[in-house]
Amino acid sequence: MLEPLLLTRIVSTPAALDTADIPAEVIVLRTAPDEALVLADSSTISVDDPHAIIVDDTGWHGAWMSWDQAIPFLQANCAWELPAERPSMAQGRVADAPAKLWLEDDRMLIVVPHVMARDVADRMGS
Amino acid sequence: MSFEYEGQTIPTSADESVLLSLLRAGIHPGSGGPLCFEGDCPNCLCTIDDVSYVRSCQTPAEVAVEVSPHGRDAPPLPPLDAGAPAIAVDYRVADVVVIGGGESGLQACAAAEANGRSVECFDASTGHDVVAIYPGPLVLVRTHGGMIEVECDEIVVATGAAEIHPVVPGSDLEGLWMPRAARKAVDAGLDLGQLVSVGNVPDALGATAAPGELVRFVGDHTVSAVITATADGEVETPCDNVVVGLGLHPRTGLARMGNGMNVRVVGDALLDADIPTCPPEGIACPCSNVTFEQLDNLHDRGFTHMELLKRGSLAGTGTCQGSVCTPYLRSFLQDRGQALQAPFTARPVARQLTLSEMAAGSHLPKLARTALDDVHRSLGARMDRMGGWWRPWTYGDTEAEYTAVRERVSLGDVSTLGKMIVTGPDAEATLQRIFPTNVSTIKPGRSRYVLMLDERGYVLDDGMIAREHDDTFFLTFTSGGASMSEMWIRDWSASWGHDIRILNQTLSLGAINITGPKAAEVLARATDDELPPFLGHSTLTIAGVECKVFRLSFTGELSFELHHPAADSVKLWTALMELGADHDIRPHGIEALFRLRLEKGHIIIGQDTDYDASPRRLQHEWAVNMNTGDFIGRTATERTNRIPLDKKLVGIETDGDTLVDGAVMWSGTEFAGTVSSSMWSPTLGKGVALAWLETVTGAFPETVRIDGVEARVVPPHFYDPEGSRARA
Repeated sequence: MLEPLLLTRIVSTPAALDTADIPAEVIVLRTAPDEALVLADSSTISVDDPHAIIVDDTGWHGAWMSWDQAIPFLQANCAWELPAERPSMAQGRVADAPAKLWLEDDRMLIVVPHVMARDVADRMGS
Repeated sequence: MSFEYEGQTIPTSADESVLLSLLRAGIHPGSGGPLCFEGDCPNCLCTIDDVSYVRSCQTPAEVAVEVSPHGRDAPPLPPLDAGAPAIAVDYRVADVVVIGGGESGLQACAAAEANGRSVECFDASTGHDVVAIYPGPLVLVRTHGGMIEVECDEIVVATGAAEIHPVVPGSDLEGLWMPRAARKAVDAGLDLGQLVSVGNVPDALGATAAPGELVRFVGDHTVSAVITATADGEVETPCDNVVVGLGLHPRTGLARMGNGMNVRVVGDALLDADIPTCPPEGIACPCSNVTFEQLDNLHDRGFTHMELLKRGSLAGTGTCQGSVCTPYLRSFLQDRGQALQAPFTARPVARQLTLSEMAAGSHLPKLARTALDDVHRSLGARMDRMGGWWRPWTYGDTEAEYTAVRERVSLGDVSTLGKMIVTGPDAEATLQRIFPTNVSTIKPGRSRYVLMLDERGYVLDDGMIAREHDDTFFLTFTSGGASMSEMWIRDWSASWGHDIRILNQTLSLGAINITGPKAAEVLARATDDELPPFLGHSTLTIAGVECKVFRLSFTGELSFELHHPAADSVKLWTALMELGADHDIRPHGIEALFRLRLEKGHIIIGQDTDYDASPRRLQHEWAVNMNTGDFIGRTATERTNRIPLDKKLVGIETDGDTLVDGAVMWSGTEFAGTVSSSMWSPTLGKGVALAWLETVTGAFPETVRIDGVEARVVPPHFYDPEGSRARA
C-alpha cells in the first residue's frame, strides 16, 4: 500500500515559502514555517530566496486511503485529533512513525519516512 | 446458549450476566459474601476464559466460554501457553466524557449535546468499564475485548452511589444480598426462599424484617439465621437469604482519580455518605482480608489517618479499590475518636487489567531501517538495534569481514549517519561558534573532523564538516546524535539571530562506505570522474548514481563515503559488489567495524565518552582550536585546562587476553578506571582497548591490572598511527 514517493524538500524563509512559485494543483505539506514537502519534482518549483535549499527527496513513502480505510486505521494508531478543515495538512505520530497527513474530503494521504515504511505498512495490514 | 463451569454446562440467555446464570443453576461463584450485582464488591469474582478477577455480575453470559470459581485467595496463574489475545485501542476525542449511564448521566449527556458539545458516555453495565482517568484529561475504558482511550476537555462523573456492605462476623456466608441485587434476583425469577431483611430495605421485596441492628450472620457455608441487637437483647431470625440495607456511599473513586482536572460530579455520586456503625469485630476489607483487630493494632501505633491506615493495612488496595471498606475505615477512625475523614487518594487503575489490556496500543519503539535492510537480511546478517536503527552486526564471519577491510575491499552501510545541510549568509558564523575549530579555513571541497561541545566543554557528538560552497556546508554526525545535533544548531542559531537554512537529510540519504586498500581501484571502475583526495569531497556519478563522495576513514584504511538518494542505495550497493567481485569484496558489519576503528583508536561517542568527557580528557585537544573565536564550551575549556588532569582516555595493551568492556582497572589496590572498548587484534597479535584511566596518588599509572591480567598503558592509536594507509 505504501509506495515510494518523489518529493521536493524546500527550506527557506517563511516569507519566501509563503510566496513560493509552485503549480496550483500540487500538494504542499508545510511541515514547519521554514520547511515544506512538495509532491512534485524540484524543477517545477522556484522560491524567491537565493539561499533556499530545494532538493529532490526519495526518502519518503506514502499511500492514499479512502476514509473507509483511514478511519479504522487512525482509530487504532493515532492518538491525536485530526483538524476538521479540508483540505488540510496534519502531522504527528501515527503507528509510532512521524507521519504527515494530507486530508481531503474523500481521502487521505499518509507520508512517512522510508526508514519506517515497512513497520507502518505492517500496521496498515498491507 | 451456555458456558462451562467446573465441568458443568450452565444454560444462559443473551440478556443476563454470568452471575445470574450461575445463581439460576444454584451456584454462588465466589466463596460467599453479599452480592451487589453492580460491580462494587469482590464477592462474585470468577476466572472467565483464563482471565482472573472478572466480575461475573458485569460480564454478559454470552461472551463467556469457560468459567471457574475464584475464591478469596489469589487465583492460579493462567497457563503459560495461553496465547494472550491482542487488544486493540480505539482512540477517540470528545468535548465531554460522561461516566455512568443512569438518570443523572443521561441528563449530563443531553445537556452537553444541547450546547453543541461532542459527548462520549460509558456505563459499566453495558460493557464499558472506565478504569482510569489520567491527566489530559484522558479516560481509559475497558470493553469486552478492547480498550478505548478518549481525550476530552471535561469529565462528568455520574457513577451513583454504592450500597454499604455488611462486614460483621458471618459476612462471608452465601445467601446475603444487597437490596438492589435482591430486587434484580427476584425480578429474574430466582427463589430466595425465606428472605429476611436487616436495616433499611424496601418493603416491595416482601422480606421479613429482623428487628434491631445487625450483629452477625449464622450458618454453615450458607446463612441460616441473622442475629440482631434490640433493646431486649440479641434476636435470632432464621432465614434462607438475608437482604441488608446499611445506606449508601457515593462512588467517588474516579472523581478522586481526576483530582485537579476538569471533573464535575453529578447525581448520587454527590450524596453525603452514610457512615455505618463500626462493628466490634469482623473483616473490614474482604479483598485484603483486613480485620478490625488489625486496624486497632495500627491505630494504636499512630496510623490515625485514612492514607496511613491504607498503607499500613493494605485495606482499599484490593479488587474493589475500597468500595466495600472505605465506609468502614472512615467509621473506624471516627469511632476511635478521630474526625470524620475523606476517602483516601484514588489512583489508576480502578479495576484489574490483564497485561494485554495494559499493553494495548503500546508497541516496541520503532527502529529505522536503512534502504539496504533487505539486502543485509538476504545476506544472512544478524541485525541488531543500535542508535535507533536496525544495523547488521555481522554477516556470519566477522573475522573474514575484518580481513576484507584490512587486506582487500569491503562495503559498509553507514546510511544511519546524521546528515545535514547548513547554508545561508551566516552559515559560517554559526558553525564557527558551534564547533571548536576554525571553520573559515575549511575550503570548498575540503572537510574536517569536528567535536561538538556543550556549554561545560564536554563532548556532545562528533562528525565531519564539509564545505561545499562559500556559504554551504554538509555536516555528518553520529547515528544516534543526528536529531539532537540538529536541535542544537537550530536553537543556537536562532539565539544568535543568524540567517541560515538547515535541512536534516539523515532519513533521505543513504550512505555506503567503501573501504580497504583496493577501495579506490574498485570505485574507479564505477566512475569516470576523479576521486577526491584525503579529507576532500566532491559530487560524482558512481555506477549511475549521483553521490556526494567524502574521502575519510573510520576503519583506518583507504575509504570513501558515498552519500546518495536513499532510493538508489540498492542499485549502488549491487553495482559496487559486482565491480569488486574479483577482489573478493564482502560487506562488513558493525562488529567488524568496531574492531577496525578500535585498532585505529577512533572513539565512539557514548561508548568511549561519558557525560564529563572533555576534549582534553579524551586526548582530543588537537580537535580544539583555542585561537579561533568564541565557541560553545570555550570558557569551560579554558577553565578546566588549568586544572590538573584527573582522568583521560588511554590505550591499553595485553599480551594474551581480551579484556571485557566495562572491566575495572586496578593499580595495586587502588581503583584506576574502567575499560570502554576492547578487542583482540588479529593484525597486531595482542589485546587492545580504550580505557578511562584515573590518577592514583596524583599520577597516572603506567601499568594496570584488569581481571587478574597485567596490562600496559599506551597511546590510544594501535594501528597505523601515522595514518599512511588512510592517506594512501
